[in-house]
This record gives sequence, structure tokens and C-alpha cells, in this order.
Amino acid sequence: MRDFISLEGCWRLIGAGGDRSCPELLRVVHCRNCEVLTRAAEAFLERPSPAGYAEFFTRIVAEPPRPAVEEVSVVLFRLGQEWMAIDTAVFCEVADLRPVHRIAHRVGTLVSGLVNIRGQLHLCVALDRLLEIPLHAGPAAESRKRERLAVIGTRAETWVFAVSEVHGVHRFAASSLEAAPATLPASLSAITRGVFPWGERRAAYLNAAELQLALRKVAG
Amino acid sequence: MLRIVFRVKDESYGVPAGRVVEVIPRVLLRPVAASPPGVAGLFVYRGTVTPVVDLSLLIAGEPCPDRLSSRIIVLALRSRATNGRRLVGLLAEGVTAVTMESGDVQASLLIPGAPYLGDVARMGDRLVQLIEPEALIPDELYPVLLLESPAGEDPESTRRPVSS
Repeated sequence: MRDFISLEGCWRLIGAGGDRSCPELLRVVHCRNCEVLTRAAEAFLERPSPAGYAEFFTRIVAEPPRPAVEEVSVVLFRLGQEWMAIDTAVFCEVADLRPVHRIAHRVGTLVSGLVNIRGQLHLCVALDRLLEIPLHAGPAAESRKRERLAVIGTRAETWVFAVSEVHGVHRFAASSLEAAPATLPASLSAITRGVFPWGERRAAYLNAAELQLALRKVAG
Repeated sequence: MLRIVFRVKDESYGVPAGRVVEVIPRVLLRPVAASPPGVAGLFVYRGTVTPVVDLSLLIAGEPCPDRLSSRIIVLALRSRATNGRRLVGLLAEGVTAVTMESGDVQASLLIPGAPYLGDVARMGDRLVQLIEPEALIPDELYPVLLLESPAGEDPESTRRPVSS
């Protein structure tokens, strides 16, 4: 029952953590699928609890539950100098920059053209021009390496727009949302629910419904 | 049905995972004087004083050994009399896995005096005896754990005042 389990187990010598010469690897692919490691893990838990273990968890378990904080999950991205965020639920994907096929007679408008993302044609909108935020502000030498295409919308209708950078998914407490400051560009504050602190910076939390309404008008 | 499987004296038992609030490590229990056999003691679970039943003591008559795999399964038990709910911890050994019943569940034995020992399910090559949480607590323990007072009495009047 209480076999001595050496830390120099076979998984460290001939298994996935060793020289991979174990013939069983052909069958189980990785040691974590092997019964030997499973038995070793079970035997590990057969040991008596170490000193201070019960005292430590008695304290942890006694703590009252933290009050649930209402959180908002957003995708953070940057357009020119402005960091903004939109609900993760309406964010479909982030794609690398790719050719945008211009549509005749729509050149110079807010519609950039059509873009092919995994075989699907999507309407590409110039969000920077819609929100009147210069995409390539600041030093001209700013690398375009971080530029991406953001795909938002639902299964029925999607829009694509170019952004300067995508940070990723972020959660913030709903209570930390503040009113949009007057310094925010007017076109942006029209579709902004508020700003929230993000590290040293502040990001504008976009109203997804308002943004989609504006995009629908552009496509009209 | 998903079951949390534990062990008493080398035999496997399972409780329905849907009834389990949380599985926590074995913590220090404060013994309660004059409590019936099977009650291991009290501990504070997230701010609430919660009684713990030692399943090993209840089923096999031996206290649960001190192992890393000995854990407390916190369940919400329904009171038969008042329909209220109370958290009760079940101390058991070998709480290491959540297992899906692979085969059909079959009736085992009807043991007088142990109504909590229910049907038997095959999980892998083991026979796991399923535990009915509500039947697990012996009748005489029920009022003790769920703070039920004998029928016909006002629960507030029978509760002893807290001495200052």
C-alpha cells in the first residue's frame, strides 16, 4: 500500500522527461497517459499529510467567500493613440493584415473594400476614418508589425476593420467604469459607454450596439 | 451520473457529484463533547460552522487515517422535517477522482440498518457502492446535524442560550 515512490521515476529516466526510450511510449504517447504514472500519483497521495498542512487549510477554508464582483470581459485594441475595448462576445477573431479588394465607386468612402478571411468575404470598414482617429499618428517610423484586422459581429453580419494593435481579452470590474472624459474625440465618445483604468492607461469601453449601428449605416 | 469516489478500508464508494458543494483538504476539526459516534467535529467553512461526519467511522468503525488523500466532501443536506438545507462535511479517504459510471447501475443488497448503502455500479474494473447522501446520516444523527428539534417543539425555545 505504501510503496516508496522515488522521485527518480521511470518517467524522468526513459519517459517523456527523460530520453524517451521507453517502449510503452509508442502506445501511450506521453507518460501522463500511462498507468505507471497514475499509480505513482495515487501512491503520492497515500502519504500522511506534512506538518502544518491541516493548520494551513483550516485557515484558508474558514475565510468567508469574497463578494462576487461583476466583471466585464472585453477585447482590448488600439486605434492610433486610443486604447479601446469591445465586449468579447461580439469579437469574432483577429486576423493578419491582408489585401483589401476595393469596390468600384466606393473608393474614398468609409468602406475600404472586401477582405477574404478563411474563404469568407467580409466588408472591411475604415474605423479610423469613422471615428476620426488617425491610424498612423505619431512618429512616422511606427512599425506596422502589430497592425491587425479585427472581425466583429454575429453569425449573420460581420465587419472587419484595421487596428494598430490588439492586446487580447481583459476583464475589468463593472464598478470601475467612469464617464468618458471631455478629451475623448467626439466621434468616439458618441459610441463609448465610459472609460476604465487599465494599468497606467485608460481604455474606452465601446458600446457594441452603437458601434454596430454606425457600421451598418456605413455599409448601407 | 458523475460520482465522487472515495474509499473505506480498500472498498470504493461514490456520492453523486451534483450534490457536492466543494471538496476541501482535511482540516483541523474541533471535537464536540457528548456528540454521537460518527461525528468527527466542527470546522469553519467559509465563515459558517459546519459539522463533519467521519464516513470511515460510520461505515467501517475505524477513524479515517491521516493521508493526503483524506479529504472533506462538503454537501448540502436537506432537512427531512423543515425542508431547510445545511452544509455537512463528509470525511473520507482516497478522495482523488470524479468518475462517470460506465456500466449500468444494479441493485446490490438491502442491508438492514444501513439504508445509505445503495446500488452498485461498475467503474472500470471496480465495483463502486453508491451512497445516498440523505440516507447516509443515521436517523439519530439527523436532528443533531440539521439542528432539528423533536417534533412539536419550537426550535427557538429548545436551543440553549449562548453563554457569554
